[in-house]
Amino acid sequence: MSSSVEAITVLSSDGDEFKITVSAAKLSKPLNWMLEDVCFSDDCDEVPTIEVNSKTLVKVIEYCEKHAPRANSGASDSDAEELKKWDIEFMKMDVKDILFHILMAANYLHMEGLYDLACQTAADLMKGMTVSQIRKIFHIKNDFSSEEQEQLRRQHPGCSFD
Amino acid sequence: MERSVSKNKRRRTKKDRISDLPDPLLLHILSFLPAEEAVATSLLSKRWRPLWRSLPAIDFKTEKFRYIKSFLQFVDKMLKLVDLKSVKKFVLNVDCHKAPQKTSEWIDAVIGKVEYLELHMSSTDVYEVPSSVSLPRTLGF
Repeated sequence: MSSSVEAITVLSSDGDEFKITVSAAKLSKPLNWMLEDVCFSDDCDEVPTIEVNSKTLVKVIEYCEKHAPRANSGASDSDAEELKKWDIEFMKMDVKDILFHILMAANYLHMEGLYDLACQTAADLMKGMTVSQIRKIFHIKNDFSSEEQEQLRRQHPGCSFD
Repeated sequence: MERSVSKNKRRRTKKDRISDLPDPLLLHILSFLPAEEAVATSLLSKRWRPLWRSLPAIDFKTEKFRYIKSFLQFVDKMLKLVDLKSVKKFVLNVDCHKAPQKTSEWIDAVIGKVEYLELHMSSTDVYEVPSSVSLPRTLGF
């Protein structure tokens, strides 16, 4: 790989162009493979497409750029603590709108840290909530018949549908 | 007029996206919940009904239950119904002084099957770990 390459350009599924630094792309195996392809390819004009929409890709790249220094060189405990705080703030941003997309993107891009963070955020939205509150948060439709609900009530006496 | 109102209503209905996620992703989300809350998600809809039986991580906490008896029954039942082959991480928070026999039974049930076992014993009494658990020598056992 040529050492002169510091960043590559990628396309989102919406066709928008984004720049990602080489060190940040290393956080994702598929991104890293794309990067190697671009750097080794004779046809340098070819821009790889990532099957993630623009709004989500902005967030994914932001996460990669923030986490890259620590992932590539290790960091002190205070850095880790600062990064944890940053993660919490990062997931606070319009999380309901794009949490689903971030979950899918982290899964598709094999990004363990972001995958855990997004799953933890989804779980935190459920924690301490009743079944009907969780349905409301995620717009889940109760598709059980009244007979099935009765049967479930008997099987899970400790759990409430309300 | 009525038709346009119902059309608008339909447009406002938000999509259930989380239920579209693949099983491993939903299971990973559930593994961040305490065991009884993870099981309760089976009441959400048919999509969620079978998931808890394949949880990759189970976290039991005594303090979540008002009575120790209901906790014991819950753990017993769950360990019978869950697919232990899928459980990688098993966390048990228990006052073993109240249920030393059961605690040992549960540890025996999961040992050798799970990859990670975490025990939080709140009792100050001595608890004899079942012989199935081999502890590192560095602990001085």
